[in-house]
Amino acid sequence: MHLLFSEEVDFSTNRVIDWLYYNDEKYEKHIDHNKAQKDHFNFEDKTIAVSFGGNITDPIFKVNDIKDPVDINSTWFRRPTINSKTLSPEKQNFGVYPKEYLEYSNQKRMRTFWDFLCYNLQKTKKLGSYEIVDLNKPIILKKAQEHNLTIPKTLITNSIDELRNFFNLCNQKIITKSLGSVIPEYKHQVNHPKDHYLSFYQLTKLIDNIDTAPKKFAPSLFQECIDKEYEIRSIYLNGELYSACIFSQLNEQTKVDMRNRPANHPTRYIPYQLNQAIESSITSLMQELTLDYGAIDIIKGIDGQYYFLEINPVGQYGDVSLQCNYYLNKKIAEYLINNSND
Amino acid sequence: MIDQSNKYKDLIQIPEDESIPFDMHYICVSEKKTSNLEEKFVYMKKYRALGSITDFYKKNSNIIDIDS
Repeated sequence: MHLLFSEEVDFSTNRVIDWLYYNDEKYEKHIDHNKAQKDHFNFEDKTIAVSFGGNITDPIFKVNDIKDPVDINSTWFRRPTINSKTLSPEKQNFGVYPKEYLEYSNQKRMRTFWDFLCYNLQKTKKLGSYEIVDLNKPIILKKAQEHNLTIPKTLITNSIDELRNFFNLCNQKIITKSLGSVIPEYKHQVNHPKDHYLSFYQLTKLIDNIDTAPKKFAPSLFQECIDKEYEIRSIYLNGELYSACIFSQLNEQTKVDMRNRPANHPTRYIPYQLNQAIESSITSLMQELTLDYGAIDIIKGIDGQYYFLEINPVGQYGDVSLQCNYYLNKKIAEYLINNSND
Repeated sequence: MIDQSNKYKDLIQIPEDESIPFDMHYICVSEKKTSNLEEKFVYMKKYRALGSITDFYKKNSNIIDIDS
């Protein structure tokens, strides 16, 4: 059985399941326990035992569903979310012990259990990472530079004076983006017209006028704005890079952030081969980060230079795979099948 | 998604403060039409999730028969 850690709805996971299904492979899917349904992998209908210590050096796992033992042949940490199930309302107010404390204690214990389980699964046949679902952006930029990748001029500051100096140094054209994770998308229902809503989200923002910018702010990330010839999205999968050239500069709206696009105006993608030196640098960076999967953003400037931007360890690959005919869903399924523990 | 922040400036009022990062002042807004997701997506046992009949599949695909 192949165990897939994913979200409630992830269309890339569905496409990999198509290929597992095609190959008559058994699979189970684990999602956030608070959203899990009966057919998701959890321990309401299974028992688990992990033995180790004494003469046993490698832990022995026993997972049983109601009738039979379950063998986990491989694990795909696509988008792991480990939250324990919240107690049902009728069980929350049992006795006088505060329900918040009970919930907190329960969550902590179950988190430790899942951490231990996934820690062991990570040592067997797996793809993706349980621990690394989010990377520290400045650390990755620094490490990329150490691996001979060019990065844009970057400033992290909470000083308006430092920002003004940097703005002038970068020809009065800089961008700001989140130092860490972007804010979650928020959907706000509006009354008129009734069938509309407002979606709040975050994009990379071009700053070309410092006078109207906030004067007080927490430490934030700023980079020089690179005039790009095109954008490159590379999918790193077990030592191989699958790259796409994305012509986001052809549309005024997608010049700074390619997500700022109308649904009926798709951006053009074509398969792209990065040069050997850049591929080697990315590979050595991924090896240092112990990542076997990542979606990497690069831009090629009109100055001819390739600029590394960031790595998303759980990034989407569907657009690159589909538009460049890379068949990454098939490759992932085959990797899980061919690298099984049995 | 097209950024329509200028149209909804009043709705995004993030206070200027030493504890709020610079980029938070540039939250984007887009108007979207509510689509009837039930028509597009159905729960498919095969996926243990919502799935859709996409352009990848022919209209006579048996994918719903498999999963329902």
